[in-house]
Amino acid sequence: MLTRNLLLLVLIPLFTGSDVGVNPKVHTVEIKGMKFLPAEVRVKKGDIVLWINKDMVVHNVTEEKSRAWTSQAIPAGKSWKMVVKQSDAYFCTLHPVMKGKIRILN
Amino acid sequence: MNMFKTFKQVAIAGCCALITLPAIGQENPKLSDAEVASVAVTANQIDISAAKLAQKKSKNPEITKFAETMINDHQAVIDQASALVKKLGVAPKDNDVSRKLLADAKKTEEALMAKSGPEFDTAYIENEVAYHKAVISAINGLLIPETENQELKELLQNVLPAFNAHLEHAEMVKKQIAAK
Repeated sequence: MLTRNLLLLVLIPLFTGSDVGVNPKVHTVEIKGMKFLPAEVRVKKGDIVLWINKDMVVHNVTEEKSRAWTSQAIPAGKSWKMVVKQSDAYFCTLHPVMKGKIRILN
Repeated sequence: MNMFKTFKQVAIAGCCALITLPAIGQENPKLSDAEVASVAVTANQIDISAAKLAQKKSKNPEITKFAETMINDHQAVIDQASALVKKLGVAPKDNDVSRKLLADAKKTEEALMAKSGPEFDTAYIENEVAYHKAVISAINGLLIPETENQELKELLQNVLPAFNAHLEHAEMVKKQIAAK
């Protein structure tokens, strides 16, 4: 019984009050036909977004407003992932007509 | 007639050649898959050459960044096409359409070479808009209908989104340059 209570004391803080979830969900965005699919992902703070480049050309994923973060080049067939900290609009600097959004769910 | 008007006429005449070809003959010129492959590779090579010229002559970062994307993307298409024709055992074959493309591209390049500074930037990006419109039209109206091999047809269909994105990007850069 004592062991069980000690275990709960250790584990409970891990599941509460943390920005990063214990089991972050992975949301996949395909880069295909010069589009981010889906164009908008709705995620929880701490979730992971994984971009997979299925086009034949190189792309990147870059925060749109101030270029606060970027994947650098994602070659054809490769992928890149990021832990989400906030809602952001992003685009591909190589093909600026390609745009996407990450929206944090409350 | 000033140089700019002359260039525009040369560029438009050259770049729209593919669009007007079917209309002239009432129906599409007959092309084998080897000839379609040659036209596809030539069309990509022409845009790479124009982009390399832009990188040499332009000091506008919007133009040089656009040109870099054109070089990388069109080379990626050529690499895919080359891999496919190798797999299919087809050797790209010169034909009237690819020869006309090259002849027109030579005229366009000569006109671009004669320009410098903002005048070059405007002429280059206007040509990119016209060229991508012409190539998209040719892929839809000539190359895809003429292609028999399914994999080659799919490759042509798969490059269309990239060419459409290039066209939108070129129009965006054209507006940015005009606004300055």
